[in-house]
Amino acid sequence: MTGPMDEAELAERVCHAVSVIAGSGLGPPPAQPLMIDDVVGGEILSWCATDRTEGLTAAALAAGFVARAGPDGNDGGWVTDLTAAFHQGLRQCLLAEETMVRAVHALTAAGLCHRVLKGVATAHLDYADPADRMFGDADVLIERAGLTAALDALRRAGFSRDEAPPRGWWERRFARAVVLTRPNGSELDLHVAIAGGYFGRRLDHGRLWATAGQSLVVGGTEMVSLGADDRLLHACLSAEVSKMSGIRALRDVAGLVLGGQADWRRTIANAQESGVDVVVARAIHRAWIELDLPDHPAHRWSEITPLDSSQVEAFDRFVPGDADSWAVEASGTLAALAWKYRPAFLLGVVAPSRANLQSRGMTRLGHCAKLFRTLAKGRR
Amino acid sequence: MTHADTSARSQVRWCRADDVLWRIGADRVLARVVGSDAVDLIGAAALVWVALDEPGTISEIRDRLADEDLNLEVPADLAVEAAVEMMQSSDLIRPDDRPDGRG
Repeated sequence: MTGPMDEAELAERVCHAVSVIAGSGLGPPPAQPLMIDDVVGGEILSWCATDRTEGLTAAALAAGFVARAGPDGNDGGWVTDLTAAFHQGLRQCLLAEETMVRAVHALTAAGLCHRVLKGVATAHLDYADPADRMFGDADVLIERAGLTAALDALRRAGFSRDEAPPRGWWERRFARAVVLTRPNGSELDLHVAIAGGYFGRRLDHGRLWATAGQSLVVGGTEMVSLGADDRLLHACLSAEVSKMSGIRALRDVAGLVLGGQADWRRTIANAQESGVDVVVARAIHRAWIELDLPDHPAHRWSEITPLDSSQVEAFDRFVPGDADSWAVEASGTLAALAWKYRPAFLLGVVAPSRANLQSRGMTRLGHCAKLFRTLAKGRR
Repeated sequence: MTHADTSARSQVRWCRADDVLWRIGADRVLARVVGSDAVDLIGAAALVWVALDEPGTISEIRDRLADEDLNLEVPADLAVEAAVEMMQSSDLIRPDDRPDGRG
């Protein structure tokens, strides 16, 4: 009988378990599963709730990558709690898919092209079982020029927006996404760009639209996602310059590289052409380290590739989970914009409409104070 | 459920409805027809759903499940039929009317 674990030992065991779970399914299962007791299991449950990894953890259990350490015949403990959370998460996925089905019908009826992004696409196209990849909302990309028509079509289909635009013209020109909801509480992120800030601005969205997408059928509805190479690029952006993506996005990156669907060399070439390759390098590097994956040419590339200093500078400004990340994103966008567009962009950031401030529960004074605080923090 | 209903149902070749979103969970199938609430298919219903990977009649479904330990309190025939009836009434499955018979 061992004594209670100290905090460092617990942290080490949790990190190891997270790494095994997140990397499970990317190679054959080990001869012996990693045994997880209820103490470490409790921490794993917290991680699952934050990173939405209940599906991966359930799959790792089923495939013998991990197992519950405990008395034989006792199937309680953290596994029971995980199963309940897993099923609840799956219900959320189905709700999000229903939202996507409705959105795709509305957009298609309005004659608008779309690309299904992130969870819905990745779960169906890049995982052996879609239950392994969980998600909480629906994300769809449309062309920037179609934003007004898309918002009209989606409003007619029962979607509404809680937040007024900073300025209508500003949103059409500079926004990354508009968040819409349905009366049942489900959320649709209507993207006009696959990333925000500096890298979202640098990215060549014209090339994305000119590249053939990949079809999938969800709930009897045919939809189109990005092609695999661009799904890898998007997974890298989600992993490195998006709020709260967690290890799930790194698993997407590793799965797309190792699964053979994506041509990672082509993804890198496209990223280099747009000037966003630092994001791809950092995402692949971090995926290989955090998931403890065996040597691979993509990882070797991520370690030795020379990185453009302006990209590195923009990358280092981004702090994951930063509460003021909208302002960090805005300053990144500003840096990527040509000088002639900067005044218009700044106008929307500094002086959003009254309706926008009201919908965010802010006063003009509070908004300015927050902006200055963030800019001051950025200078330090 | 009348005898005529049962007899008619047993003649039909069943397939999953097109607009069903679903996942296989740890001990169940979770399903949601677009526009309806989610339902959990447990026990025989979950197995019947999985067996409907290809369309089939009730007797074909029963044959596909012959090797499964259904662990049921009622005979397998009745369990499969009850599951089909429940899934039909929930719009999860429908008669397979496609010419190639592939649902």
